[in-house]
Amino acid sequence: MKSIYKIAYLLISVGLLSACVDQDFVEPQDGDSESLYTLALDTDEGGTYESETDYGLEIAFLDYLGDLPSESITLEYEIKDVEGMEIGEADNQVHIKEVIYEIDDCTEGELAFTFNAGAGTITIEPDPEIGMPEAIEVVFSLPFETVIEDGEEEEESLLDDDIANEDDRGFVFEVTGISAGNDRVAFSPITAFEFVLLDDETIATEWVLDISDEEVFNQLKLAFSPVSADLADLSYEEVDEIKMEFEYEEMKLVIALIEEEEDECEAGEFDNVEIEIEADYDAEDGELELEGSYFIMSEDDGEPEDELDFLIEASYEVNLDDETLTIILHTLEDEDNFGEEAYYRSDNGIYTFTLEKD
Amino acid sequence: MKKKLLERIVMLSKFTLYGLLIISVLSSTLWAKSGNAQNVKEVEVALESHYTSVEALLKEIEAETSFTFMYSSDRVQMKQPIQLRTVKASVAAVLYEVSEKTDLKFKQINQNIVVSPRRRKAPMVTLKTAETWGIITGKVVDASTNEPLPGASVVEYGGTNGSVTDLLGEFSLIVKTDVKQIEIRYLGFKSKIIDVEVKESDILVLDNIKMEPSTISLNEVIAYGNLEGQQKALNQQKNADNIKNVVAADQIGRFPDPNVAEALQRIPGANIERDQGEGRYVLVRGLAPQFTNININGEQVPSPESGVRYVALDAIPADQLASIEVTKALTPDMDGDAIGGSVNLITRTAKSSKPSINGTLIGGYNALIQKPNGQGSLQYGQRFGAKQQLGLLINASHYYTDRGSDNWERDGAEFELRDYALQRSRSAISGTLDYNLSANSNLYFRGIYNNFQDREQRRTYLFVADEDDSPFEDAEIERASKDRLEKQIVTSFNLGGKHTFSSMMLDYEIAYAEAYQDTPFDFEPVFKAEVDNISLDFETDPEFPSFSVEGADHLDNTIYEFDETTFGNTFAIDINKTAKINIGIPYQLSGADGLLKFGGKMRLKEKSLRITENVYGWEGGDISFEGQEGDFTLEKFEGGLLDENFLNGKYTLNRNLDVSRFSSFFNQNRSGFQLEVEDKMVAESVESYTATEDVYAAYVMTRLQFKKLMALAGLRYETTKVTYKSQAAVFDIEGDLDRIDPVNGGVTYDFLLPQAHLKYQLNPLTNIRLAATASYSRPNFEDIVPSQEIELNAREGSIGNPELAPVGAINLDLMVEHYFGTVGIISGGAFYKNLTDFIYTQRFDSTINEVNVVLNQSQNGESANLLGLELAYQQNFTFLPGALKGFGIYANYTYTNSKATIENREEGVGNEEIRLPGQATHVGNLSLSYDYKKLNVRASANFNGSYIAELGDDASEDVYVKERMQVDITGAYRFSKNFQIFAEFMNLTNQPYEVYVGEENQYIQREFYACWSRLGLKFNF
Repeated sequence: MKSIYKIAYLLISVGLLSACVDQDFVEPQDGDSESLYTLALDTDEGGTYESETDYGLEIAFLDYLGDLPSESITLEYEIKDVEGMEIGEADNQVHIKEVIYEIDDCTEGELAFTFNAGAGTITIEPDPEIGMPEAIEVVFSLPFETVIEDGEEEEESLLDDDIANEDDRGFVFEVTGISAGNDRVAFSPITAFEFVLLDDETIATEWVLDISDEEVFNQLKLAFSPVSADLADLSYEEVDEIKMEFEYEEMKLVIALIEEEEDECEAGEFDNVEIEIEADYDAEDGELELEGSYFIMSEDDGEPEDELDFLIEASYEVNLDDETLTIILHTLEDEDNFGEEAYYRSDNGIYTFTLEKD
Repeated sequence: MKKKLLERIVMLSKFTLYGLLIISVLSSTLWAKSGNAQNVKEVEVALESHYTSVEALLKEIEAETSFTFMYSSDRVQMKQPIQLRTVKASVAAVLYEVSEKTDLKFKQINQNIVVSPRRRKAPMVTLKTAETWGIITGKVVDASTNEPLPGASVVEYGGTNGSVTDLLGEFSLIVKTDVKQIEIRYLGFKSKIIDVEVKESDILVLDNIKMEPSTISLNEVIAYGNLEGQQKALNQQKNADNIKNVVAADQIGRFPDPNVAEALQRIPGANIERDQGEGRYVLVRGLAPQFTNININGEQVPSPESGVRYVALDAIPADQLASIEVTKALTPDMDGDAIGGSVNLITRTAKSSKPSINGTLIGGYNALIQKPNGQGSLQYGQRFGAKQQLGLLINASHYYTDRGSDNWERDGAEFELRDYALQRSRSAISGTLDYNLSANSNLYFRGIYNNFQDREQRRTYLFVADEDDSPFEDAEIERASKDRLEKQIVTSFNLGGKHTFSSMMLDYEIAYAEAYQDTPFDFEPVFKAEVDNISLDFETDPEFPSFSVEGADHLDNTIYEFDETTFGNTFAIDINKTAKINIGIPYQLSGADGLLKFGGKMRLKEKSLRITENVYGWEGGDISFEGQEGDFTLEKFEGGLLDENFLNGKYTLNRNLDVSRFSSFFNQNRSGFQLEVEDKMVAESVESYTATEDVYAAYVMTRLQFKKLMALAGLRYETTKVTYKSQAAVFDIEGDLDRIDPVNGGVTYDFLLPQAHLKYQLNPLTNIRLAATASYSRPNFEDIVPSQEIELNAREGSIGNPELAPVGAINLDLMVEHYFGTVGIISGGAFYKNLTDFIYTQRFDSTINEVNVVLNQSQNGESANLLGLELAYQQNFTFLPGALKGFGIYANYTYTNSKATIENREEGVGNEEIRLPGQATHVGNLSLSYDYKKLNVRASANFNGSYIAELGDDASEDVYVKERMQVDITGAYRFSKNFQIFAEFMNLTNQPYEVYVGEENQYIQREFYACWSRLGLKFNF
């Protein structure tokens, strides 16, 4: 009888001892020593005005740990899927003009690249001063011609026309390979960038607001000062020019002041001081939505206290004949003031502005 | 650096010097009795019958022996002539005669004989060494089982001088040589009177004193050991000098409590905090866990958790212990940093030369997770040697369970369903090796290793409604899958000795304790879906809120897109190195027996936390995984358990993701995941720290027994030097990380703690106790480490407070207790605590980099008061006829009321009164049992009243844990002398863990664990 107990005990003991917490798990390879230096295309951008003759695409390292590697990196690329233009090394064709990087705010460095029938390589080398650049800019040359006017030579875009283009114009830049002396260097899975040329017969161009009438300025001030403390403090006499720039999915309301400031990089050169209100925009079928954010300033110290999102709903119309843009603002609300408590709200519109093409 | 090193050297030198002084004083006394010196009784001399002076006689003795007489010519008169009766005798006999005929007395210290003048008038205080005293030593055992009886009272018959047996049933009693009888008393047993004959400076070793049960009926009950636990506990409790509760192993085993926390909840005045239905932290007398210190074998256990001092007691299996003591009123020889109480977990020691093998085998079932669980333990103990000098005990246990819980939580307009699946194991091995150098000298080495592992998989649905219909908010459903493994390893080693000499008692110990918490992985991928809207209804049925989702099916996994994933691991370690020495010197004061005790202690602590926290977003666009292509959505990673009866079918869930499959995808597509580097740097630098805490303590106390009154009083001094190293993260005005600066801090504080206890014995079974004690509680590390996280753009931050002072307390206790001869107790008492420098989180304005910010920091507040009443009743109805005598009751109830003063949270000025966090007004246990012959059945209910878990911004936002009552049933049947089967059914009523804000029906959490059961076998050989 006792031996039965012993055997039973032994069996159950073995069973019990083998019952342990399951520690199986697929470990992620995310130790600090194996973290990656990932290069990625700036896909937030995507196009430029048709009047431009070049376009810069940023390729930058995503946030990384430690210092960037010092070994050179070679990117293989291809320019393809061209629409409305051709690939080639001539001025009237699309090609890579230069590959640059920022050494400081006023100085740029240049990197070596090859270009052969739309394909080639870009070699990223450490700079003697700053080491491996955090980001590079691949500058594409868009089709242009050189004209001499008023005794000066100028490049003019061959794609800048006066018609509303129904077909897209653009190309695709794709990174097809990466090689580096450091195996922790990688390229993001998104390898293709689609460039789209903006058609300035739509809202996507620069517009100027005529503020010769002070009331126009006052209306603009009322319309936008809830989201700009700087604008709220501004008087008519201080303003030189007001522009609205509709770039690729982003709008800038630029208020140039009469006051000037010296250019950071060129001594003796002076530019107007500017106040900007930025917002992402979506314009379709005459309806315009502007989404951005602004800082609430502290009454105590004048420093930013909070950042709130805002939303402007408007309608617009582009008149191709007289090259004007009419915008009617219906609603302005932010995270703290929306619905019934919006800064303003009207189906018929509160503020109307007519701008001229720059 | 050099300065710190110098300070440490000075401090160490100071205490080393004290230690050396103590040791040198000790040595001179010790070796006088037990060294290699010759005894004056053994050395014979041949002398003349007459000497012209005593001095001449002594010189003659010096010439004939190796003894040297030491005296001061100023103090002793040695010129008188002397006539001896005997010329050939022992030195002792000669000196006896000299002392009779002169005013001189002699004392041998090694080879020296000190000559001093004898006082005609008796001194008020006389050291026992100057009397004719001896020692009685022995062991008290149960006659039927030969098991030792701890806590037995051993007293001079008809007198008050006495001793109490230790956990091995052993005692040492220093008595006058004229004592002829001693009496041994033990609850549940007949008192026994033993004749003794004690010789001067001699040790009388008694054979095992065998105690017989006091009644036949009780004998029936305890024959199978059913009441042994209670007997041992109550005897120790009754004979203790201070107010304490003791739970013995046998008693622990009679409740279905697998871990130490759950065993502690049965003690009056103790309640517990639970984790996943299992007890984890203990709260004594209505005070939060940090107010109670946890010890193993008398030494504090470091906490494996990073920010706190208190120990998660679910890491320690209950079956590793011989007993648990909860001391509610401290004595000066105990650590002073315990306001609520001090819990001591005592591991087992070998008892007899007969090999003892005990074990349990348990199998169980968890109804919620529908999986079995198991537990096994095996203990071997034996004493070896002709006199059983060497004892060895090894105890190993292993517990494994699959558990689960169904839970919902609310945070404002967010409603979350949480489905937990857990695997837990508790493995432990403990051992004691002890050696009796003599009947009065014991050396020991104790060790315990606990390994607690917890794998938690949590699958959640978080419904975030857009309550205000804001165009800036989205109604979202968040699906998170957490997979975390946590290991808590607690190890402790104690090496020490205990010695009783005719003139003093000595014990000393060095100890090393280490606790660490290793979380090798803690991963949580999160997916989100935006939906048109979500309606949440918390009003119609507050116990089970309802929701509806517009614009999507929340069970459709294809709508959930990847949001972010967190991969983390942490390692926290806490090490204590301790050395201590205690010396006791018996004395008499006006006929009362006294004990003067003093000692010192040093504890060096090192604590640190290392953390890795990687949060990744996805920058890679569409994905391809295991043949599936398209959006980065949840259904591609589905896996793991699916609870098809979540919260008893109240809500329907769909399968969540398998974290391992997700990890595989991560490894294959690392370049698409973007690490949040700034968040990582902030989390890892601000949360990690290293700290040291050096504590030096010394005390002196005395205990006096005036007939029925025992008085104990003393003073303890503790000085603590703390240093910290951490880092501070400062963000710029735009919210970006500006810099991370190293931050070092440190503080030194001292406490002088007077403590006094009175115990009046109304009769041998009734005591009245009174205690007034001072104690304190150190702040948690998470509050004092000077890390900072300041977000200037948000105008707020949190900073540690290295200047935070410990909470001080004055404690008053009154307790009346009456013990029943047939094992039982009825007791009642009141206690009052006045806390100063109460710690709470304060918000205050500050200016950093010329920016006004609101900072959160733990601060010392005003005072707090806590008043409580404690009642306990425990009795076995052995006076009833026949089988009715098997009935018994175990009940206790504690009422507490507290008021703490803090800065008014609503107004910002003035003060307001709050309840102390953790303080439950009502706590109690009721257990009805039937123990008769081979059968033992018990129904137990444990009640924890509601308490504040977290203070809100104002009283209406205070978070409470709701009262909870758990009902368990256990039954056991012993079918032979060696084997017993038992069954346990726990949480029969499926009591949830419930949390509410402000008012009781404002639930913010309800967690259910279902019931679980265990069936097992216990054996002992």
